[in-house]
Amino acid sequence: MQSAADPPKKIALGERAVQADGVEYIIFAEKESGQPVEPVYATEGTPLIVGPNGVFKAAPNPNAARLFQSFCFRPECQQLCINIGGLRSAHPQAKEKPGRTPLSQIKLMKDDPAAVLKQGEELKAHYVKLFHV
Amino acid sequence: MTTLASTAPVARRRFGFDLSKPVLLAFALILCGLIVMPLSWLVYYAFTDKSGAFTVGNFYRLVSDAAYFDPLLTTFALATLSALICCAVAAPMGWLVARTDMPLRRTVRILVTASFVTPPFLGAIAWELLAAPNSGLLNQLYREITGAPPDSHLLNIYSFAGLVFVISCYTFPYVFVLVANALDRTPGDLEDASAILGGSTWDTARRITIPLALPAVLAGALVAFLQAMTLFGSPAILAMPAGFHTITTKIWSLFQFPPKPELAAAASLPLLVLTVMLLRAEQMVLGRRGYSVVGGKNSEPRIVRLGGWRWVMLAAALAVLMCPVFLPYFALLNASFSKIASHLVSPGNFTVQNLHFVFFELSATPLALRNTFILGIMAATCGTILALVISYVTTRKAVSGYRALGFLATAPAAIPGIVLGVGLFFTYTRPPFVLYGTLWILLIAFVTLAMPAAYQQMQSAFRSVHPELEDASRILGATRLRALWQITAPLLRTSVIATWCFIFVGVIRELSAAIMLFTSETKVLSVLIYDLNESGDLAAISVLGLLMLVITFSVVALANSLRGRNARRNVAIG
Repeated sequence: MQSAADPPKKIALGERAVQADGVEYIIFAEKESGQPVEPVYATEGTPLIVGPNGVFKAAPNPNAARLFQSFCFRPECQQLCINIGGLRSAHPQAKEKPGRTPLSQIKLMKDDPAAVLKQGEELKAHYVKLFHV
Repeated sequence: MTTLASTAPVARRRFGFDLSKPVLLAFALILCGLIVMPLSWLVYYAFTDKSGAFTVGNFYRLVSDAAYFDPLLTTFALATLSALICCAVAAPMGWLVARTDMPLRRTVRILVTASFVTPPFLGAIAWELLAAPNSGLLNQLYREITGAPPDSHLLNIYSFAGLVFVISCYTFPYVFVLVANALDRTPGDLEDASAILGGSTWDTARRITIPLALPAVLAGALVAFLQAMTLFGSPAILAMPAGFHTITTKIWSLFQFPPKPELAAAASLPLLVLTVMLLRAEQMVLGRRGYSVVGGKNSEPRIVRLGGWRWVMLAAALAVLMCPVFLPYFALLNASFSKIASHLVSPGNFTVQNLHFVFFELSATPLALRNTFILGIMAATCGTILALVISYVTTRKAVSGYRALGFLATAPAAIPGIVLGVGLFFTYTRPPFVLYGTLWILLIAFVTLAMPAAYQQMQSAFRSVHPELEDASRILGATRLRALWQITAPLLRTSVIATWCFIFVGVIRELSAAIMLFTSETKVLSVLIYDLNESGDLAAISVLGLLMLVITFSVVALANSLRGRNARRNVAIG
């Protein structure tokens, strides 16, 4: 319901001491600006959220969009995403920022779209039962 | 409902074509479209299933599933408690400013107006800053003073009690205004008579003043109940983190992916029916008030001398106003200039980065500001024109069927913002009017929601202008429209401007309908603030919230100064 950007901000405010789900990049930003926070990766695994990128079929400026895409996937841009955005990159030439746990050392959880499609409603109902919202 | 200032027959022109009939018919059609269309679609969706066949299954699901039924009960408890608290606080305050010699009465009234125009969702966010269990400023202060352990707290705003409190903070002005106005108008003769016959101050209060004010208090309680029941922003901000839903947040969540419009429609209908019933009840209660204003010559209301209690009462009134005004405004101001929203501004902590972020980095700010201003100006202009024409028709009985027009203009009062939002969504996402994703759909929502209050304001303005003046113009050969333009319009100018400002302020603070109808290109300031709250950007919200308050207060001050000038001019004429 709330944005995944909310939990780390609640930590920054001092409202919460730990967060269980919520984006990693804000924690990086907080930590690297000197705030006393520390990311911990669960041994069971960490969900990976993929940020997809595409061009609409009826895009008004398809060439500009393609140009933007080609820029996005250059090593320089991917490095910017890592260094400034606090994101992860699958680009072979992009380098992890020192001080952060490299992606290769984090156990990742895989999405299962077929299962989501089948059990989505059921899972949501279960969530509502547990958290009431 | 409609009492007329004069029963003088309206002169009819025998010759020449009078444009007024078609114009009036057009306005009636517009009103019908605004109100009847969205409600019809709402009812249609509530009673059909996905294939379009008739069903009552949607309602069955609502009452049989706890996830849908619990919010109904919660909302009922919430609204009842809020209404009781509002009456308990606002009725004595109304009496204090209207009937006692308490100092700074005018200031207290102005401060109540301030809490009146503060958007409730902004108040809710400010109270997050003040009373979140760990980071809230008041809880920090409590631990500082008592030395309590760092995980203890005095207040928890993310709770049912917290929500009731915040809603009451921004709902009590409705009761206050009704009670204070009723006491202002009640003549002092009856109280004088009681005093002359030997009644003590308390006897007079118990047997005269309180019974006279009671209808206003009751009406206020109903209005407060209605407000608390239909509010979306505050429960969305405070109840969902606390782990419960109200009916409005539930309706909203039914529109989240994957949307269940038929359930949202079914959940909206009880809200609509309850609102209509409550408004009927309010009319019945207020209708009985007739007996309170007996006598041709009204004396000035009798002022109760409080003696030494004057200052105690003032302190109490100001203490009440701490909750909706002083504390929240302080929290917003603090968060705007603090590096961390939950820390007090200090030399080491002061920053203007939040201002820079909101005005130069956040790409949604210029868009939301532009949309808000466009919508505010357009809704205020269209709404004022509509209200002007309709109130002319109803006060002057200009066409047959004027009662229906008056009824239609007041009907939206019975439509909660979120319900209208759902109805408009159904109406304008399909041909022939695909307006979803444009500013038009928001304009329609705002004009519709503003109509009842705007209409009532314009109606009372028309009643104060005697039809003789128009009749004279028409006897001299002017058409109805010309008489309106040359005679009535100049006399109504200030009321028109006041109504315009009123609608404008209403548009700025509207969230319930906007949240159902906005798209990324049609975001308004209130929705932007709500979005930022979802991602926890309290500092940015504080800056935007203060900006919103500055705009609102400027417009209110403008309206007040014009009204003041008009009052002085009228005195000069009289």
